[in-house]
Amino acid sequence: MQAVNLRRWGWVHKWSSLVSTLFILMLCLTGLPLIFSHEIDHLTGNEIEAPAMPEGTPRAAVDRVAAEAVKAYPGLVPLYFFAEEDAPDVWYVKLDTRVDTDESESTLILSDARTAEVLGAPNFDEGFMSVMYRLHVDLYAGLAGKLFLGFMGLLLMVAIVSGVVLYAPFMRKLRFGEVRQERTPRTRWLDLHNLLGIVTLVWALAVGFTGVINTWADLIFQAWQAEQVAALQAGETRVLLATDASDAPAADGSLQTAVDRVLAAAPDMAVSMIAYPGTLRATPEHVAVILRGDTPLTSRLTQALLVDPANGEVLEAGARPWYVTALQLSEPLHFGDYGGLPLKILWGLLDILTIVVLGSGLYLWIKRGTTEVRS
Amino acid sequence: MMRIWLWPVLIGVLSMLGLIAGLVSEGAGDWLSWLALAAPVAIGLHGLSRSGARPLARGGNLTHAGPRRAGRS
Repeated sequence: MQAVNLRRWGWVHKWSSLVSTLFILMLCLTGLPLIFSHEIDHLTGNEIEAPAMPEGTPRAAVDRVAAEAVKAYPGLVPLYFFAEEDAPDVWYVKLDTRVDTDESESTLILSDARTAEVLGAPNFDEGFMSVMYRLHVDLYAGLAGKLFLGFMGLLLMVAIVSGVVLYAPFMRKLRFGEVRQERTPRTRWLDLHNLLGIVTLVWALAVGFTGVINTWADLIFQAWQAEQVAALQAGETRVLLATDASDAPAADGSLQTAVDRVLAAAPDMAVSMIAYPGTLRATPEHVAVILRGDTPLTSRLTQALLVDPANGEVLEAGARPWYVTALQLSEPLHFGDYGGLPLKILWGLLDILTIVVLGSGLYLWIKRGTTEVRS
Repeated sequence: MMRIWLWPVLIGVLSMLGLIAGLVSEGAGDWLSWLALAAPVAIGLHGLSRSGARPLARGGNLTHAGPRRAGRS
């Protein structure tokens, strides 16, 4: 590479790294416990579980679950029901003062899916893990904080790519993995920085870029909602279940019947989420029922159906747009939660190696005055 | 060129395989993803331990020369 090109890439690498390093270091440090948040909650007894009941105990209507939740939290309205694959007896219910808030002050509770009883509210708002979560996700600054961290993530992408460009000229006289012992500490850290940077490259790009996409989640769902509403208004929808379909329970205005009609229209799917009309995931008039398949990949890629609770018509407002697919695939690739504990441990180790890359990069910059003349 | 990029490309391909395998299949896919992603981790940790350098976070004395090993070059 020409010396002038090398200098330009060096400039790009230096500044993209310098601006973002402290934030990326913070993200790596706070992300480390978050990888294991499920295990940590379990160990510290913060996990709320539904009591054991005989198998096949009938489930309560979701309307009753909603009524019990509102009774326990007066002044709030339900926004969403979430179902976790590995906790089938529990509904997570999100409540807020209105359906159209930004949800930053919302309350998440757990309800027993069989008795509708409120089991409790996980302590998301206080404690060590909550601080880690808020620092990692939005710096306590809502959407602005998310977008800022997303921008830092983009700078990290630039730093990684420019680092790869610089890798070759630095390695011209070295064998792969060689860490020169006989030179100054700075040389040793430079070799280590290059080695760890290049081995964590693909993982760091994947986790970094999917993290950036996750910071756009709110905007993505807003765009999807707007698209669905537009499709509804233009009549560009596919009716999956007509109002007078005979093979499904007749609509009676209840949420449970609306959900049952969606499941009748989409066999072999399971409910992942129910969104009340007016929320970010639904439309002003329709309940959105988000369904998931039962394979590892299709359980991530959800399908959203809309149902009018009053007349029971089940609609599909267009296929899932590509940007929603991208977001849904970004979540597991960022969290590393799709391959059991061994994958989480590998995620943690790669995170630590990345911390060493960042720390050594900072060290190399601080010690830049002592740069040796390269032969 | 080949000499410089052979290992990085190999590790990159393995990492990609590991990231995707666990996503598309359970069981065998999980095993494949663990094994494939263990490659960059093992090489990284090996380099770290062999360098004689202490992680910065521990506040080790960075100017300390560290245990000298026989030069490999």
